Amino acid sequence: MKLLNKTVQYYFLLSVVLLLVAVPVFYFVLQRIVIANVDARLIATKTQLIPRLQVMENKQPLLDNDITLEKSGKPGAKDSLYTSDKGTYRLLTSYLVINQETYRLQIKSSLANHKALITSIIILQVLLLSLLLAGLLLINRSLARQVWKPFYNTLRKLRAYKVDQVEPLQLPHSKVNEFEELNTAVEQLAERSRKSYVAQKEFAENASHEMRTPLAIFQGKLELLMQTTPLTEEQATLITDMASASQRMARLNKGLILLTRIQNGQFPETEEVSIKKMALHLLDQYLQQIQQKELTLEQHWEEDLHVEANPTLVEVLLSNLLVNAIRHNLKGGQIIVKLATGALTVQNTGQLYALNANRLFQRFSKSSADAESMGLGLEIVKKICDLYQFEISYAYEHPFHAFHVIMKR
Amino acid sequence: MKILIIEDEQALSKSIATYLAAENYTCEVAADCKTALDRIETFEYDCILLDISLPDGNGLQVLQALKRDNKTEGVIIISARDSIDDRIKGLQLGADDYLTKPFHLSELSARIAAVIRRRRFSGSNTLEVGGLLLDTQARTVKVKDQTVDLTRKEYDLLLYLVTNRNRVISKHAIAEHLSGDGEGLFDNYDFIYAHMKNLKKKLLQAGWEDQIKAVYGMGYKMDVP
Repeated sequence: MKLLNKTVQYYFLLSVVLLLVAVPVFYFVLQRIVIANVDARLIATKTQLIPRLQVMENKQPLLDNDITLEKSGKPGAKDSLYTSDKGTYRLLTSYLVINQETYRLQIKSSLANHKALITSIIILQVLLLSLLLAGLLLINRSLARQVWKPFYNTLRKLRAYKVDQVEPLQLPHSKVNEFEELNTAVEQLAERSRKSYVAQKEFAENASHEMRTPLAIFQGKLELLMQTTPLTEEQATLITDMASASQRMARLNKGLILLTRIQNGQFPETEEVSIKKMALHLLDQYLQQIQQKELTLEQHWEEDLHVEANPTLVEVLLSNLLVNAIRHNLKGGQIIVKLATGALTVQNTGQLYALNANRLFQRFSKSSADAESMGLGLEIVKKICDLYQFEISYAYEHPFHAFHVIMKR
Repeated sequence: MKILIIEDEQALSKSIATYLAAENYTCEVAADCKTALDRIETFEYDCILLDISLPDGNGLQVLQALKRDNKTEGVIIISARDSIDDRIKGLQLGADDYLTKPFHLSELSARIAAVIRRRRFSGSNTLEVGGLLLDTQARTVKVKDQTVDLTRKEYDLLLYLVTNRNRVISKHAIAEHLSGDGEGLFDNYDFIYAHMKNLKKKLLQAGWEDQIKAVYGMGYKMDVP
C-alpha cells in the first residue's frame, strides 16, 4: 500500500465516523430544540387562554381544531406535555376548574412542518459534509502527491542506479528538509559503495597484472630447470606437475583480467557477428578434442543469427560454452548444438545429476570434479550475456545438460 | 646474433638470457629506459625484447627512438598488459610481435627466430638443421632432397622443435603453441602425442634419423649435434 493511500485512508475513516455520529446527534439535538420550542409556545397559548376561559360563558369562539375543552370527572391533575402516537402532534393537556367544574384543556400543535424542516436541514448537512469529505480527500491526495514527488524521484533514480556506472548518483535538490537529508544520505551511500566497488575492481585488476611478472619468472625458471642434466624421472614428474599448476595460474589470471575488462566496459567496439560462422569455426578448432573424447556432435543450424557485438567477446562466450560441453562430457558422450529462433542451445551429456543452477554462474563455483576447471568460465559467459542483454539459462533434461542463450527476440 | 633484453625484472631477464644462450645468441640486458636508449644508440642488435613498464618510463619511447633513428631492429614487446589497445599501440609504433607475460621461453625463442628470419633481407629462407631442410617461406620440409608432405600442425610442431633444438620443450608450451593464441583451453595433451607420432612416422619414412625424443612425459627434445 502506498504511503499516500495510507494517510488518506485514516482521514477517510475519521471522516466517515464523524459523519455517521454527527448526523444522528445533530438530528436529535435539532428535534429537542424544536420540541422545546413548540412546548414553550403551547404553554404560552395556555397561559393566554386560561384567564379568558375563566370569564367567558360561551367558550366556543376560542376553541378550534387545535384547542379542545371538555368536562372531566377527574380533579385537577398536573399539566402534561407529550407527543401524539404517530408523532405528528405535540399535545398539552391541562386541567382547570371553571365554575367549580373540572375541565380538561388540550392544545395541540402540528410537528409536520418542523419535521420537514429538520429533514431538509439534515439532508443539507449530509450533503455538505460529504462534499467536504470528498474535497478533503482530493486535496489531500493531490497535495500528498505533490509533496512526495521528490521521494518518488529519488526512488526512481535509485532503482536505475548501478554501482558499476562511471558517473556518481545525482539526486535533485528538494526544498523539504527531510527529503534533502534523505537525498544526501542516499548520495553518500551510493558514492561509498561506488568507491569501494571501484577499489575492489582496481585491486582485482592490479593484482592480476602484478601477478603476471612473477608468474613469468616462475614459468621461465621451470623451463630452465627442465634443461638441467642429469634429470631423473622423479624430477621430471615434479617439474611437470609444477608446470601444470603454473599453467593453471596463468589461465586463471587471464580469466580474471578478462572479467574485470568486461566489467570496465573495455570492449566498446561492436560489429555484426555471425553466430553460426563463429560457432562452426570454433567447433572446427576443437575437432581434435571432440575426436579424442569420441564424442558425437549433432548440429542443427535452422538459421544464421547475426548479432551486433564485440567479436572477441562473442568468441569467448561461444568458446566457453562449447569447451565446457566438451570438457565436462563423458567419453563417448554426445553434444548437440542448435541455433533456432534467435537462440543458441548447447547440450551435452555429463554427470548424471543437475548442476546447482543458482550457483552455476558465480565465480569459482566448481561443479565438477575436474580439477582443471577454473570456475570462471560461466561467470564470464554470464557477464558477456548481461552486457548484450542476452538471456542465459541452464536446465538438466536427462541425460543432457543444456545451456540456452536467447540472443534475439 | 645479438639480442637486447630490456626488462627490469632481473630474474626474468636472466632466465631469458640463459635460455637463449643455448642458441648462440648473445644477450645484453638493460634494466631501464635510459640504459636501453644508450645501448640502441651505440650498438646494433638483431632483436630487441622490450618490456613496456619500466621504472623510469614507458618502454614505448624506446620504440619511438628506434623509429626516429631509422633502425631496423626487430622488436618483440613482452608485457604484463595485454589489452588490445596496448597491442595496437605497440605494433603501430613498429614492434614486430607482442607477447604477454607469462610466456614460455620456448615460445619466446620461436618468436625471436621468426622475427630475425623476417628481418633478414638478404639470404635464403631456408633452415638446415640435423639433416632437415626447412623452407620457412614455402613452409616445406625436405629430407635428403625429398619433400615430406606435412600437415600445417605438423609443420608448426617441427619448426617449433627446430627453433628450440637441444632444449626440452614442455608439453604445455607445445599445446599452447599449436592451439593458437594462448588458447590452452583443454588440459588434454593427447593431441600432441598424435601429432608427434604422425610427424615422426613421416620423417622416418623419408629416411630421417629420428632425433626427437620424449622426456619422461614432461615434454620433447630434439637433439642436433
